[in-house]
Amino acid sequence: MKPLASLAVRSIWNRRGTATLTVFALAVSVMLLTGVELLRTGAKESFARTISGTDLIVGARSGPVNLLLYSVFRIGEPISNLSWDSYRLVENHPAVAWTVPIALGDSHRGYRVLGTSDDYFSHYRYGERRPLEFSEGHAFADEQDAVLGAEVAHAFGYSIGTDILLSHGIGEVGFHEHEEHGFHVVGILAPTGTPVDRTVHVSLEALAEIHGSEEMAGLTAFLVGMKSKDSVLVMQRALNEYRQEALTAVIPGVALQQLWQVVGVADRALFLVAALVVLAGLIGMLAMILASMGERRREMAVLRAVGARPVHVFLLLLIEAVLLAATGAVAGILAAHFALAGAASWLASRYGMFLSPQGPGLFDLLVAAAVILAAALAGLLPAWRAYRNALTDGLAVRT
Amino acid sequence: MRLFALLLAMGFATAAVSAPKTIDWMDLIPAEARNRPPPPPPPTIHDFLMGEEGPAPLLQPGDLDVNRELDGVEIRIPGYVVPLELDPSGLVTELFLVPYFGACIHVPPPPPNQIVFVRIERGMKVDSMYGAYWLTGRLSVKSRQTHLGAAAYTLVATNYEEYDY
Amino acid sequence: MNEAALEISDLRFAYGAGSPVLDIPRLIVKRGERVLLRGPSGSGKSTLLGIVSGVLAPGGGHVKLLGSDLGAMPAASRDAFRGDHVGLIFQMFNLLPYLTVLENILLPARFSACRRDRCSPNPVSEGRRLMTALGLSGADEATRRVVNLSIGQQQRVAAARALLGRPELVIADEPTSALDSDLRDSFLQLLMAECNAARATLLFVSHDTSLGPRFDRQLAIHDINRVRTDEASA
Repeated sequence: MKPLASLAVRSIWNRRGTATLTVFALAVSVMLLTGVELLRTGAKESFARTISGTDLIVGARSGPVNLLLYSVFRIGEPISNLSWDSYRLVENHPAVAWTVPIALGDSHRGYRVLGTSDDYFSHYRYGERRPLEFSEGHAFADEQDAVLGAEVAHAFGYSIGTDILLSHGIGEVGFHEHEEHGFHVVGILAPTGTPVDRTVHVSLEALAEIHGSEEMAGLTAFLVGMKSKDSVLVMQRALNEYRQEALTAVIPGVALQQLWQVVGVADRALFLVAALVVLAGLIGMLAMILASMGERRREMAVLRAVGARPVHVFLLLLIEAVLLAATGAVAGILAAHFALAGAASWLASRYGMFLSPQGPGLFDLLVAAAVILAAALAGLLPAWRAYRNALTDGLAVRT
Repeated sequence: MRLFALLLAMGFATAAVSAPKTIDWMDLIPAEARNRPPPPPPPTIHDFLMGEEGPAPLLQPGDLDVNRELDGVEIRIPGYVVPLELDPSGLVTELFLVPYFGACIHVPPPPPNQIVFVRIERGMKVDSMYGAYWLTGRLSVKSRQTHLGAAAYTLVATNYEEYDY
Repeated sequence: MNEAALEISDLRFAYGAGSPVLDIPRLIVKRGERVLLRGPSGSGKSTLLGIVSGVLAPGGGHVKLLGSDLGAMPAASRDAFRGDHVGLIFQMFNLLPYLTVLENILLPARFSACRRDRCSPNPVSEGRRLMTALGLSGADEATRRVVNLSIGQQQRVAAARALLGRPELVIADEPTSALDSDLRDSFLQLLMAECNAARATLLFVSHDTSLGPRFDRQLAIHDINRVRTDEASA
């Protein structure tokens, strides 16, 4: 076997122009497949860990997925705000343990601003009931205080004591700079891998003042924790049926599951497409090997002359196919991981998708194995042809 | 031969002892409560939030009645899933199991003794909330009297299967 | 030590279901003999070489190479036998384009432990010695790519490869047909010198009758093969 392997390598090297193209085609297709899978699992994980330990999210009447998206993922906007009366009703209800109000609508240099109470920092959980932690500083004490998510601080190099300005609306640059309403950074949160990292948190009172309102700021949504689990369904129904205002209350787990069902169909289709692309890459490789068969008949005759058996000729071609496929597969897998690592922050800002960096894992191994196996199968055809030719050619090579 | 018979008998005995008891949602209501006369209609749901004299309790007499005989028993029960907590790969680790679909949307929610709060450590793959599942595990029963309710039934589930209609 | 290198009796061969190509009642080549086999194209010379080298199986009769009956061996054994005991030179396309000169010469050592072990002290130095003996020495000759060689040089590389590890039988199928007469003469001279030194038997096929005097014996294919073919039907 050893002499064959080194011959196979030299043979491929001799045709490295076409071999490179074939490997490249395979690598691109494997990269696509791996990338799709990485995105799929990353997205699923990223969504699943965003919120935890909250019984209900309440907003103005809206679809449950939509409510989840804008209140937790900061994707999209609500149609209207909630009334503070409704909020207080729930806040004061004996069955309710805690509530956290949320006001969205402003931005700072492209990052969204969240107005909330300081209860947010004690009640918001993510992952598997992990609480938010401060890497520096503390929650707001004064009205002009701000708490930054880890990525906001990192992106602009802010630290405790920095002064920042907010703009109205969520465009990247606002033209209503609230000059007289600068904020003071008093806390920076530890990274969470959720949209919290990309948020600037301020108090509701401060937001209200910015908008020139004596009242509280417009309320976008609020989070609710019940004292006991079995009143969750009852409270949810009560809020959905509430006559005084059109509200929607969702259980986060249910909304996440619904979101996933929508996405799930798309990602299975995507996976199928990617698999077909890999198949196309393998066919290209097969075509390349078959095309070279003609000029290699003499080569096979030479090998036969020095004592190679037809099965050696067969194996030589098979090894070439496997080597090409293995190189393409490994290159594609590595490329996918690098590309996704590079695109991580863009994915986070555009799609709220936080992919945790991870090296190649079990799935990648399976993909490589599958591609190599498929290449070996594809390689059987030219190998078999060469074998038959070797048997019948004898020493008189017919060209 | 005798040893074999002994082992066989032990095997059966163990299986019988540890086989989970398949129950029905009616079993969660204690026998004496099942035949009570129908209660007066409940206050409208929105009164739960604010009735004439403040929030009205939604519980009816008998809603808190639990079947104590099922405490600590290994059971197997079918129902619909309301996911509450997910693990990082999207598997459901905490959920409500309810007797009918739509308990959180279209229809009034079931009373507390017809809701089971389930924890399943290995996580459950819920492909569709429209389908029902069999859950197997140890049931524990609690009854705390407050006018707002108590977590009546908790199930620590070890296994789940899709329900075939 | 004049036992037969090659002993053929009643050899018959046809390709598939076609008409017979070879019908050779008797042929003996002694050890160390240098034989020139002549005949026009299509007369079965290459087929005979294919059988003698073990690539093709005899259809009937016996072919004994160095005392071993090729017809009684399975194909894999014939291939191994060829690798161990036979060196082959073709008219052209002898070399693998993706290996260097020296690597081409060393090919037999990859496939035959027997040939490898007979190189003293090791295959690489034997290969270099053969290069020198066949007039191929140059500073970087060993690592040169074969596509850069002239046809004359390529044939010498093929000869060196055939001789590596001292196989008992060297078969050359029209190796000089593509060379002009000067090159041909020097090639033959060097080849024969090496064969003598290694005490190898040489079976040389050519249509060129002028080479006759250099050989111990000349055979016309029609002298030994009862099957006649017209040159026109070649």
